[in-house]
Amino acid sequence: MDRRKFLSLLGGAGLASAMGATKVKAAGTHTFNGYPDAMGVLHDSTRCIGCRKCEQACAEVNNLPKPEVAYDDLTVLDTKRRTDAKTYTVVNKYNTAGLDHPIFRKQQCNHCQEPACASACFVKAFTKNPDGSVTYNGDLCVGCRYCMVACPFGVPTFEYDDPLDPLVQKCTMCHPRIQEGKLPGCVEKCPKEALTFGRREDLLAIARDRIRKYPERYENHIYGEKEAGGTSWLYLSAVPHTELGMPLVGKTSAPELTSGALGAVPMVVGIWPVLLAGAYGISKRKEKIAAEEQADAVREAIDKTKADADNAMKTALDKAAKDKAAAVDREVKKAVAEAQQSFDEKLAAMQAPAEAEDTDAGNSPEEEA
Amino acid sequence: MSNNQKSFWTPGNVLTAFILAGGLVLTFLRFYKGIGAVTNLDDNNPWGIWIGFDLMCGVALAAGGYVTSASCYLFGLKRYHSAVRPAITTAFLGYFFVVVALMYDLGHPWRLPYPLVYSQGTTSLLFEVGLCVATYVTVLFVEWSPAALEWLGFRKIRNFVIRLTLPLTILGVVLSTMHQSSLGALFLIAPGKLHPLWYSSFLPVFFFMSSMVAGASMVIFEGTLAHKGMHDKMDETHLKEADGVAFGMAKAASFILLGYFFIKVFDITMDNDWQYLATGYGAWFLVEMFGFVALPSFLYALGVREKNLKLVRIASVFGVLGIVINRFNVSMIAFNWQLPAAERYFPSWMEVGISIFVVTLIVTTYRFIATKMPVLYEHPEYKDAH
Amino acid sequence: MMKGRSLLRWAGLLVAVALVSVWGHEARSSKAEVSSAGSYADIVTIDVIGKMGNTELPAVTYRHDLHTEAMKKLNKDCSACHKTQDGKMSLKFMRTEDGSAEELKKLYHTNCFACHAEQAAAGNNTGPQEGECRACHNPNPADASAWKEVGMDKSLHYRHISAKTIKVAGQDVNCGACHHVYDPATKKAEWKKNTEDSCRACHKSEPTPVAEGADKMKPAFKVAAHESCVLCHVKTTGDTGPVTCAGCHTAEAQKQYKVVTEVPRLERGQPDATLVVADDLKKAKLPAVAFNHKLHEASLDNCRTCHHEKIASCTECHTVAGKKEGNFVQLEQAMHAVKSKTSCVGCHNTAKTDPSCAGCHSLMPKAAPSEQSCATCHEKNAPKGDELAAMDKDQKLAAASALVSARPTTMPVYGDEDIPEFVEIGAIADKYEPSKMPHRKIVKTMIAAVAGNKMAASFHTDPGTFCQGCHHNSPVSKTPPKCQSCHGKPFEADKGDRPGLKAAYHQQCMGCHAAMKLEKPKATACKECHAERTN
Repeated sequence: MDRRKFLSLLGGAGLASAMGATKVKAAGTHTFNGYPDAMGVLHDSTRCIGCRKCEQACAEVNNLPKPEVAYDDLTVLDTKRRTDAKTYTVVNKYNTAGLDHPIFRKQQCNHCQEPACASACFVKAFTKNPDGSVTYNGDLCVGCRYCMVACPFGVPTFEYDDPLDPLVQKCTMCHPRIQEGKLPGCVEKCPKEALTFGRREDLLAIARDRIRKYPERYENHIYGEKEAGGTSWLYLSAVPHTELGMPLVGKTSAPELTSGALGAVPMVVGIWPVLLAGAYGISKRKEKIAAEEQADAVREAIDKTKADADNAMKTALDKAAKDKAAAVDREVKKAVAEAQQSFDEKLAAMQAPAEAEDTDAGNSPEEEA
Repeated sequence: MSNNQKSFWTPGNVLTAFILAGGLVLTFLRFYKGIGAVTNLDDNNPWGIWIGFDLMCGVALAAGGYVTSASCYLFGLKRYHSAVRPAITTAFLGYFFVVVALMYDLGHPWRLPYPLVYSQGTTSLLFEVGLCVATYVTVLFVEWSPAALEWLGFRKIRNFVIRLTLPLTILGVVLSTMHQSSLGALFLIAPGKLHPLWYSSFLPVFFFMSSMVAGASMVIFEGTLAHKGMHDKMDETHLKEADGVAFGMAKAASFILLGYFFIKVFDITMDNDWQYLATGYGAWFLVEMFGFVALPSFLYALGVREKNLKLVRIASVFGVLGIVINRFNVSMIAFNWQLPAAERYFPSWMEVGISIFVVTLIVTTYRFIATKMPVLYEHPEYKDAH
Repeated sequence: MMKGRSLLRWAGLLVAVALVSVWGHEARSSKAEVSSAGSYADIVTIDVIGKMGNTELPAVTYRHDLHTEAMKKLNKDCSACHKTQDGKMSLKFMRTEDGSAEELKKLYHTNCFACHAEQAAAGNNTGPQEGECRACHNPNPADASAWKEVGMDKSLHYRHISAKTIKVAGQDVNCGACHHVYDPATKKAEWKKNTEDSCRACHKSEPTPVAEGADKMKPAFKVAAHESCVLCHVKTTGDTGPVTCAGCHTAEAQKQYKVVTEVPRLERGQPDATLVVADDLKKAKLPAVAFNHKLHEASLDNCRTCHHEKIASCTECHTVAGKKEGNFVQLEQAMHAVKSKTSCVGCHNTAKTDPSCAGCHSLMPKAAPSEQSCATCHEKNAPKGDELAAMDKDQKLAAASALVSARPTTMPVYGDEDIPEFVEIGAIADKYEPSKMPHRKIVKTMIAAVAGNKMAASFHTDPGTFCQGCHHNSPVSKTPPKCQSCHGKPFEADKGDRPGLKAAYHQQCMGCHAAMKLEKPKATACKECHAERTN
């Protein structure tokens, strides 16, 4: 690709993103404050008389099977109960110190603003609807029960006894009914309006107003206003909420608790290969360098050996040449000496008989040995 | 084993057959009558030992695969080479049977692919676990396949797969980091239910670090068992390198355990949880920290220094037990600590039976593979397995 | 491998030591469960050196009754620790005056340890010895304090003034035994008739000068009270009061006191009726309030509820603008503060929590007094403005008397013919039959419950006011509106917190029954009010 083409592509991309692109929300400044028209229920336990009509209504509208003990048997309130696969809501009785009468409180799904169950579900079987309810889709559920681990209020229940299609069961805030403009079953049935239905915003205002008007009647705390990021089911109480079995839950919602760990995942995917490839590269490089150094060392060793050998050879050759020269020298000297000697002998021999014959003048030119 | 047909029923094989038969009966019960008929799980305690042991310990103890292959192929420590195939086999079987065990625990096991292909719950750490484990099982299968391919004689495919070793190893470490830590991160969502001494925003880090220790310890531990039971299947390289592998793993495990101990101390300091040490749970926490983190760290170090293989093996037992205890603590013992005693969970014998059944399946399969395929030895025709 | 084995042994030992040391180390927070050792009323915090500024060690937590009991066993009495000077026992330990910090430390240590050491040598269970500093200098003692304030109520006071054992020489009343006022002329504290007051009127939490600019200090309230009460009890033989901490300062002991029900009125020269007149009549334009002092005396068991600092007119300290003596509580708040125990409105609100009243009043939001009730106190024909400013004391008293005696003594009510006998509540009858409410019976029962109640008589000015308990949020009328005039469908956004008709009935009826602490009808006994429909 040449420069011109690259720049034009860049310009085109910039233009395209400027028009018609979705608004990018800067991380950290954008918060979701809940669906504006989300409904909720305000449960005022100072009004609750423990008549269990809400339990009965819930079973009726949800077609739940009849319980073992009839709804008008109030002796069941003497033991603490929890919801189960066939009971979406229960009322419990609490005897608090310092009060001459017990307090009753209804327990069911709190329909959190940022539900832990929806956050935990890995098949998106839970939905926080715009009407405030948190509903469950049994057709997606794999039955892993992580939602039951995640819920800080211990709400979801499971049909352990169903081998083929065990589903998670919990209060639905009567989502189908409120879609039709009707009231949730429990709210409709309560004779004392211990359950008030309305927009969550309005309920908070009503709750604060009640506390303001009757300060001696209420504990100055609306449970669910901030707990677990806020819930659609709000509670008013005459005593600290924890004395009525409400768990001590912090402000942080479940998604906030896990978003850090989830955010780390793409980072790991991006960074680990770099680190590991780097480690691999480094170890390979080390190996290579080690191999090279070893090769170098070997070569050096060989060279040195060769050089030493050459030197030795040269010295030996020199010496041999010298020896040879010396030997030649010696031999020549010897030969000369011998020749001289032989000449001398011959000369002597010749001189002697020469007296006898003077004629042969002219000695054969003798070599000078 | 002997050629004689009669001696097939060794005591080990008899026991195996008994367990497998019982397991099949329990399997039938589970799928005929539902989870409630076989377990002690209830609405307060949705997860029991099938998650706490089969899943969490299974995944942690199968970490030897990525630890060994990373050491050998990425960090270039060649002396671990003979330990890679056994570790990968263990890891593959471990993860495969984790999925098998999951079939028992899920309400709709046939819907397990849903989060991957149908409806992705990307806000969930369990989704992350599922995605990574699914991918990693595949990776492990491919990494392990050369052993089977060599046994089957499919040379060309085998040679092709061997070339993938490096990218698969990197992918394996990446995936392992993610799902090992995410198993710990599963509990981030329930601060009110996990005892403060175990709950931390650093749970993912703790689980990841301890998984490395689990891997190293399992390599040593399994190596010990394999040496006892399948010595005759091991080739010269394997036997020669075995001690080096053990000591090398011990060194790594010792360091990592020491680091793990310190970050646990830092975590308690940061959350100011010191007062909990003076309670019953605190005592148990100290037992876990001192008896199963500090002690194995020390024993490993001592064993390496003194070149004492026996000590290293003892340390590896502590290491493995430590991982099991830690996973048990986080998922069952320190979980729901605030509930009254009557509402706490204890596994039923049938749950335990199925867990034993699954472990036996792993061991049996491993024995089959290691006996028949070139895991503990190098195939003479494929000496290039670098 | 010998080296390895011994190393291993040392390692094991180290681990064991580490474990034990971490376990035994006091890594406990203050939140860790502290076994409640007990709650005592006799805990005295000795911090005399700390108050001088020397805080080397924390204050000492001292158990007084524990020591007096121990002394009793050793046949010793108060003089073992308390010295007498000029015939009066000092409440200080082993001294009549405080010295320097060093001297005090030596004094306490020497004397305390001497006794403890002696007892320890004798083999008795005793207190900390020398060197066990923090056993005494303990900032967070395990013992909780069960100390309860004790005061003179009318009954206890009457028992004192009628006691034969309390006599003042030369007088036929024994007021002077306790009550005194400082006379700067004689420089003495002596009794002066009709100036009797609570000890707290002069004796404050710290010693204060006896008069403006004087050097002499009057003792702090705690010292004055104990000197007055305990020393007298100690001195008196025969039927006398408690001498131990627990004898006065525990709820149990206080419950045991003999109570005199019919206490004759205390004569201190107080008026039967008085006018409450603001200091700044230019600002306070409403008519003065005629206050029935005699009635209110009878309805309370002590004077301090209203005269909470001293016996004087409220307006002396609580002015319209507010002043320092009144803690800057303005007159308006002093009279009308809704949650206060000492204001008129606050006390009346407390009175309305009585079951006979609470049935209606607990359902009404706590708010500032309604405009109707202003006129009950600030009567139209009471003096105000210039006329009031011109009146002298006697004229004011006379005006007050006249106004008070003109007030109604019984609550006005409608005749039976105006109160429907039965009311059939069936507007939304669905699963149950209409409820037949015995309306007249209920109303007359409630009227009877407040028959003798002067507050009801004063404030329920109109016969229709009483009906407003149920027929609320509407003008006073003989024919108040039906409930369904305002209560319809529930949860209508523009209706705010107004209940629907079903809840309106149930909240009103059940709320009243609960507040009046009625056993029947039980809230969950639906059929007692309306029969079930069978179809």
